[in-house]
Amino acid sequence: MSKQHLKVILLAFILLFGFSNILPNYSYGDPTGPYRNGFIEGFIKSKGEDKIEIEEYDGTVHILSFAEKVFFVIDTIPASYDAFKPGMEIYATLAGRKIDYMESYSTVFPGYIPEGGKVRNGIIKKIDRNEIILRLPTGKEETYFTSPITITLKNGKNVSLNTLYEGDHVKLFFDDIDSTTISRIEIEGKSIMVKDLYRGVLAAADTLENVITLTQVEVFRNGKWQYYSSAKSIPYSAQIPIYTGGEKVSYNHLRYYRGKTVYMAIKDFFGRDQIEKMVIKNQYESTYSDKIKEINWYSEVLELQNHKNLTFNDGTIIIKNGRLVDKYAINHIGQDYLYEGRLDEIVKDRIILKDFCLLNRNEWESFDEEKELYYDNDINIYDLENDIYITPEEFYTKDYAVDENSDYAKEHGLKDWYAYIYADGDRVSSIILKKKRDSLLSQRVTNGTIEYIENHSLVEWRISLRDAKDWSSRKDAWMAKNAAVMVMLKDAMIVKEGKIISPEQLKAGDRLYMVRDGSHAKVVIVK
Amino acid sequence: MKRLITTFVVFSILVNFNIVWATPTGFSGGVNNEYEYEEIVFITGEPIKFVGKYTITERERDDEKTITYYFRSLKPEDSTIDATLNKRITFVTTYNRRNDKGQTIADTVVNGRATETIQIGNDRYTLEDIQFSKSDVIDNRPASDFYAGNIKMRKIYSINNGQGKVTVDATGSNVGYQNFWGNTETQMLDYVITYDRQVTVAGAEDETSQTYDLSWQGTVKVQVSDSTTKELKYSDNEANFSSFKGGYIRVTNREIVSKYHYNLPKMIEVEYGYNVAKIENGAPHKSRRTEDSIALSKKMVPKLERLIVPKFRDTGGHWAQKYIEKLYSLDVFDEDSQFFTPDAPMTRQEFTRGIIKACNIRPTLEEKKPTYRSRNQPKEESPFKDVNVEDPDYEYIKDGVDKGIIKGASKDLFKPGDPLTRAQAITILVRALGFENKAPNPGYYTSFSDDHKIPGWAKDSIYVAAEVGLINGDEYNNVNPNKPMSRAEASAMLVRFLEFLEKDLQRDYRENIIYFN
Repeated sequence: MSKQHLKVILLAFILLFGFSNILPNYSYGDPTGPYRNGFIEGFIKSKGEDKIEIEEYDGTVHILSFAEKVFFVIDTIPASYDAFKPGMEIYATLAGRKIDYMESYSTVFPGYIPEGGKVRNGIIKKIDRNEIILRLPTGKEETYFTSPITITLKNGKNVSLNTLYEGDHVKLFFDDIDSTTISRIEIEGKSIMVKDLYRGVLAAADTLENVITLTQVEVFRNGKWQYYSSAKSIPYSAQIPIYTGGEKVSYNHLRYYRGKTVYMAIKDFFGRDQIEKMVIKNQYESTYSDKIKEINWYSEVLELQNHKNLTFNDGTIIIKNGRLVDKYAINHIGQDYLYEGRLDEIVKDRIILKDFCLLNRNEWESFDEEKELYYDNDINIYDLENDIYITPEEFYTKDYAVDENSDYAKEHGLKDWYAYIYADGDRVSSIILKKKRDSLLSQRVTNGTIEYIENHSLVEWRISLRDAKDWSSRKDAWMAKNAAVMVMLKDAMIVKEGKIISPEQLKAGDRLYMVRDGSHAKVVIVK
Repeated sequence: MKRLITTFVVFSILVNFNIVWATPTGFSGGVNNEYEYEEIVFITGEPIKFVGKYTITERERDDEKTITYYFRSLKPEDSTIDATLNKRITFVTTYNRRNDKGQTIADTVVNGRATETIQIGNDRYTLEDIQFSKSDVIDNRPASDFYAGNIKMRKIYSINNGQGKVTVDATGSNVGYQNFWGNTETQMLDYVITYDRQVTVAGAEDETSQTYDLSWQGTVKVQVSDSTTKELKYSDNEANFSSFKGGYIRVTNREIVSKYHYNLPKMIEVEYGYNVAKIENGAPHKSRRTEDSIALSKKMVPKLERLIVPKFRDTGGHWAQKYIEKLYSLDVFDEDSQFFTPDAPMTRQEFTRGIIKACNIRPTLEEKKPTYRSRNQPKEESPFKDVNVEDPDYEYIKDGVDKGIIKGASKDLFKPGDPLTRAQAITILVRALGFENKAPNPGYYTSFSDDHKIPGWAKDSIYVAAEVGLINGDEYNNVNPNKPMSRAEASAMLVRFLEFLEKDLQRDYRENIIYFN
């Protein structure tokens, strides 16, 4: 080797070392860099059984073997050597001249789940506008939000979110693992409803088959306990605790309570009765029906308007809107509105009501002003005078609202029509139209459960309502009736899940909220 | 002949009592218990509930299962209706095992001639043709099989030998799972019934005869679920002078439930002279429809199995007493001493054996052929230096490793005596279910406060376990992945896992489907 050659090599060395000291991680064109730095970055060029060919970013190619113990990682999770493919970008650390750790990335969307890939299942504990508190089967509570694009399904049908009640069993679907905004909500159908309240004397408990046998079984109807059966066996759902005096009772100890009176909330389980909540009578029983004046959560006492104090606890059976709810759901107000008024003006997407009334806390409250409400193509419009459904086009083109002072109106003897309107906020979902105004003074609000429904030859569809309660504005409370009430449905607006339905679509067992005038229902809402 | 009948009776009794694979009876939404069968028939346009005796014969051969349903003169529950239903149908399922993927494809067809006649009043409906196809994919995971499939069917009936015909088109799907602790199959079928019939009524003397059209179309949605669960129940010892206090019973419950939701024309009393009995009122209303639902359920008598009684001296009053005793009763722990030492650490070896025993995890998919150990056969060699082939737990560890439930601590060490961490335990449970693939794409965070402490290999499992409700965070929302588990904690986690196999899966596959649709 000539002296000149040696000089050039020395210079190259000095240059290289000099640079590599300044930029220790970027040793361009340096075939020994990885061994000095202890890592290698680049692409897999080819793969052998126990060797791998890696091309560094600068183009230098290395053939490396593996250490005794190697960690392979793709996208932060352990992977096998097989998962690494030629062309992948890798980072590997070296122990000597062998790879002891190799990682790569393959995922385009980290944390991706398919649409609706996150699911929550539970009972609605509380609804506050768009906020939902869900109680999971494990007892944990989580808060989620609905948005205008949340899809709501009940019994597989798309419905309005207003049909969601506290105590409902739901499945929530999310599109994103961190999302708290619900993309789809599925609501359990009628099976969630409490069918009846029974009481009876415990005669036998079969804990192997989860069945209890009762004697002197009575059912709570129209505010009274009525004879139901002299003996009856009813299966229970073993997931639900039994209480006595607010304390849980183990199922194994159920047999020690033979001869005691038990109270049960009954649900329908595929055509048969099933106990969903059970309380063993602890002391004495009396029936009160009054409005709650005050609730003290700390001491678990509620005071009724008549100054009676009652204690309640986790074991108390609380039914609201036909659903079993926990004690924190004792007070709550609905979200839908019922209007009545004169149709002053109807345009393509809007109605202006004049001299309207709003059903506020079960009483008609009149307003001497105008109210603007909105509608869209999903509206249900029923013309009571002609007994037909009309389209939104007919609604705003026909003479349901006229200028009463115009010559046209006078000539044709036209007047503004009146309407009952069921609205979700300011959006009208259902409306019925009539020429004459009802006297709202004689109307009252009633709720109850359909005992039976029949198409009578003279009065057409009518229903018998059990466990009916009328709203008393003087007492500001629901007053229970002691007998079933017969109500005629002719000319009534019947709304179920935001849509007008015909009377024959009502079923025995449906829970209704209605405005009626004597025995004539005006507006019926299926809860 | 007599012998043949006796054999047949004995065979069908055996079959009826044998709870192996819960599958809803037939494909018509019917339910049964040991004694009788019932289903709703919609062929007349009005629901009629038929009740009666049945026979089911099942035959399993290698990769084929034949099941024959025979319903003999079912009668309407409402005795005012004069009707009879007879049907016999055989389904054959062929299993195509894909051991390389740990999956099985099962295809079901109708075998031979299916017969069905329904006599209602004067009308006779005879099955002329049936086309049926069902295909399932079964994912065979260590602790449970999960499956899903689709069903397509068409049935054509003739009315009174050519007076008209009824076409029943059905399309649907099914989901199910099967493990030692429970198995459920839920079928969802949509039927479209097309009734095509003209009736000619002879006119009075000088009038000409008239033809009336009685055709209609209706839909029926059927959801039916057959479910078996095994539950552990405690029973006290009534006698005072006994060597033990009480013990556990394994109770096997089976129940078939179904729900029909129908939308049919409203049937009206006919005005013309056609002779109508109560349910032959044939004429559908022009526009009015009947929409309603009917639910059925039948429960079998539970089967009982008494389990061995634990007699530990140091578990009384311990928070995990119930869990430990349950698992001991199931033979999950081989603790011979009278001390269980609930607060000592659980080892990797014990937990591996525990989960395999508790879930009764079966030998690998491939049916083990009886092997004759020849002298030349190489001696079994342990994959781990620290687990001896002679070790009583060797089989469990090997099985666990083969099935991918657990991995060695390194290439050739299992570290059987090392304490088990929570992350390891959770990973074992999730892998046993085969749920680790349910995790999102990598690069996410779990909701636990100590997410950063979760080792990379455990992240998917911990995420999935929390999603399906197997685990919860502590009061600070920590999952404590690297904390060693005590024997008591591990017992509680295993019992929760068994509950998941028994109850949570049932709820998800039955109530959460049928109640919501």
